[in-house]
Amino acid sequence: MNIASKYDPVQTEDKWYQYWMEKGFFKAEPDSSKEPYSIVIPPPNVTGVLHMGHMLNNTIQDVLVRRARMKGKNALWVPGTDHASIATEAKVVALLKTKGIDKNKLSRDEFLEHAWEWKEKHGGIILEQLKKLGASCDWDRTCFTMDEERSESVLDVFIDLYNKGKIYRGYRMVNWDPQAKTAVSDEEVIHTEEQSKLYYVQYKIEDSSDCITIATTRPETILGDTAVCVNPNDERYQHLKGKQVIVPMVERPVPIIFDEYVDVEFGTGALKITPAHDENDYEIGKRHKLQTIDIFTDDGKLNDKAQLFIGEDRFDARKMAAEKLEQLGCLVKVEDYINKVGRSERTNAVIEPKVSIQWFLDMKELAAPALENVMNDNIHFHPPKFKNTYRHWMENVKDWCISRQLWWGHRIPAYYIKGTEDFVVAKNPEEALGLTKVKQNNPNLTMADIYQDEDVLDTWFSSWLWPISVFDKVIEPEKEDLNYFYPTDDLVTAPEILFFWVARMIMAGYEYRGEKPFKNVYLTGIVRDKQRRKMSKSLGNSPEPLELIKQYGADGVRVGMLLCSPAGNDLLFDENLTEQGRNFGNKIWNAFRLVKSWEIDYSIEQPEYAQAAITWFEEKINQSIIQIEDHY
Amino acid sequence: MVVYKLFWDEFSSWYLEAIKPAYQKPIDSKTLAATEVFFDKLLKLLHPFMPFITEELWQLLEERKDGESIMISDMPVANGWNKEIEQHFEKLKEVVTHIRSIRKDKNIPNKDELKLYIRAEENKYDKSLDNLAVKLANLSELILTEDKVDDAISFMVGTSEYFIPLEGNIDVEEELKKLEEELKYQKGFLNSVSKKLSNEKFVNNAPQKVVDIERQKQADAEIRIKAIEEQINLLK
Repeated sequence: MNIASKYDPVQTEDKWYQYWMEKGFFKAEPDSSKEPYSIVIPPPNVTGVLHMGHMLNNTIQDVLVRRARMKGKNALWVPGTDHASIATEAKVVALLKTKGIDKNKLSRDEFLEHAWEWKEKHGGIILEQLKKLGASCDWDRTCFTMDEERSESVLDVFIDLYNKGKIYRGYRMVNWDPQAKTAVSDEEVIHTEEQSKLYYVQYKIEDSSDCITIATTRPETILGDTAVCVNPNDERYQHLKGKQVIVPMVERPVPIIFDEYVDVEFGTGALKITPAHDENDYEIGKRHKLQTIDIFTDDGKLNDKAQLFIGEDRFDARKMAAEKLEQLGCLVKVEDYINKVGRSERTNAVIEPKVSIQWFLDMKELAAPALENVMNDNIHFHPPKFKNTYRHWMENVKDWCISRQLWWGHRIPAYYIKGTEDFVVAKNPEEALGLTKVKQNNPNLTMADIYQDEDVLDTWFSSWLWPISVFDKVIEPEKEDLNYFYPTDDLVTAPEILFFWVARMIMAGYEYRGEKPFKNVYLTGIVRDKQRRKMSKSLGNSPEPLELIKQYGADGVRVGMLLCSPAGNDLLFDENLTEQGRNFGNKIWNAFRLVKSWEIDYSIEQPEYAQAAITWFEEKINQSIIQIEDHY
Repeated sequence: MVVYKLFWDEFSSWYLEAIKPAYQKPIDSKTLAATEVFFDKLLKLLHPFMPFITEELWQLLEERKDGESIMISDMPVANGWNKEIEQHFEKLKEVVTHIRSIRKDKNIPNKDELKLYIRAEENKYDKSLDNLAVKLANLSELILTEDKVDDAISFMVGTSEYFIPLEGNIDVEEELKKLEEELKYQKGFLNSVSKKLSNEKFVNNAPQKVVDIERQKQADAEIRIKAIEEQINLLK
């Protein structure tokens, strides 16, 4: 036989991958005579490209699924991609900017058209890259978190959880730009020190001639005050427990509350609390269940809730409030003061913390079975030390804010009735109209009377359904696939998304299947360079995976990834390892050539030494097989 | 990776060495068949890690029909293994490794056959791997003895003592001369390192790492000198 003296990975890899695809070896369908084995891929961002973390993670998954297949199981690895709401939208916005197009000047539909175009162009590149690695996914089952089937499940689940009373609308503080009239992210707010004034204002204690003095930089927000707060350890104010004070100008009685948040040393040690217009006050307001009075319009003017200075700009209102307080004899003094002011990166307008309405998912009941079944090892975490972090998070779980002020994603299926605060939750506008008619008891309503929520759902609100939704509809499933392949066997993912994703999949699993979504969770380390630095483009220490494959062959790179030495939660990658992987391939190749080069002579007896070596190696292989078995 | 070690160390370095026919000589059919069976198993064990090269070689191992593939073949299984056989071979590996390093130290070419004495009782000694030892270490004979062997390099594996007589294998005069020279060099080296370490300024001011390296050098040199002196005594 003629065997090439050197192994040529490029040609070999394409040839066999094509052969496997043609023969349909990656496919799996339910078959009751065979034991199922399934893995769902952690869906990479649809417009992303392969990085070293993916290489490690997907190599491990492919090793697991190929092994299971060879052990006679009906093995399935489901591939797919994530729409990655924020990341993709940011990419598209940036792309449009380079073309001179401003997102704010586009309609929702126009923007989405651009986004889909981008998705079609770049979507799936990463899956093609996975093929180069040898990934034996059932490509016919490729899913996308925003494809029709997955989207339907997302909406169904939203509606279901809403109907169960677990999803609700609530208020949350955001960074509001009154000039652009939009919420901006924390990253888009620039904080700088600015010269301002600190006003000392007296509030009368109800049914008493005493006063309490507070200090504020924003006297106009006094109109929205709903409490005065002091530190419970501050001896000066012990006698005020249970008392109320009167908010100046509007003469509103509000409680005096005690919270350790207050700095005894700052100002007078007493703070006015305006939950609608300060982030800290908002938190205190929640803790003490205070009323929230939003006195501003979306463009930063005072509204009728303020009662005074209605229609005035917030900065003019500040001056007017100071004058009014002075007239009333409540203004004790004014000091010059330097404080940090946040301005919008885009418009330079002073950011107004604003409570806005968002959608939340109540997590308490969902978390209970998810915590229990990890702690009792019904779902196995590898390494188990992550159980502790998981428990801490699950025991302190907060309600999940699931709405995002973006366009790329699943639009929230809530429909508002024009001119009211009322809404219905429905799968499509037609159903929404039907529900609205009933709710309003008005059969004459038309589509023109309702409008859909502008926000989209958090990306994780679709990926948390992944182990179910890749097989079937989450609500009212019909296919055998789900019964057969669910629960899946192994999940291989990164510890950074233990809460974002893993925990929530477990919750969805118990909520919708009454069963865990996977049996084992392998939390792989973060791939760093040999100096333990994070891999990044700017450091130039992040190898291009496809280049590595070209240079060392896919097999070499796979072995190299698995040879990475673990260091705490990290894996240290060194290109030498892929070289070692390639050399191993060459070793196998050369050993094969050696064996194939021997001529047989049927007339010679088997030497005793050969017999002894064979007897030994048989045992050695058996020993290794059992060791490998123990490793899984 | 168990299978990495299995292929590289056990199969390639030991098994193939053990069964390999002499250069350009043919192999018997039974051994080749067994080796191909092993290769088949190894490729299957390796397949999940290295899917491409294993498919390529598995297809070359024997004629395959269209539609056959290693990726849908059956993974080898094992119900247990014979520990005794495995451990016996591990002992043989140690013996061979010792002999190979003696060859290297003493410049004895691989093609020169050596005699190996084993201090063991006849009835307690398992001869089953003797032929392999002969092949792997290129021995002329393997002799059981109840006494120590004089003028020989000895080593221990487990509780057994092994001897390789030096007669004819090395030029005693030449070896002694080489050892004396090496001893002189090592002593000189030790002297210079010790001097450095007795310099307080150096010890107090140099970074701890540098001082540690010097201390290690000192300790290594002392060990080497002791070993050389023992060898010289043995030869004399």
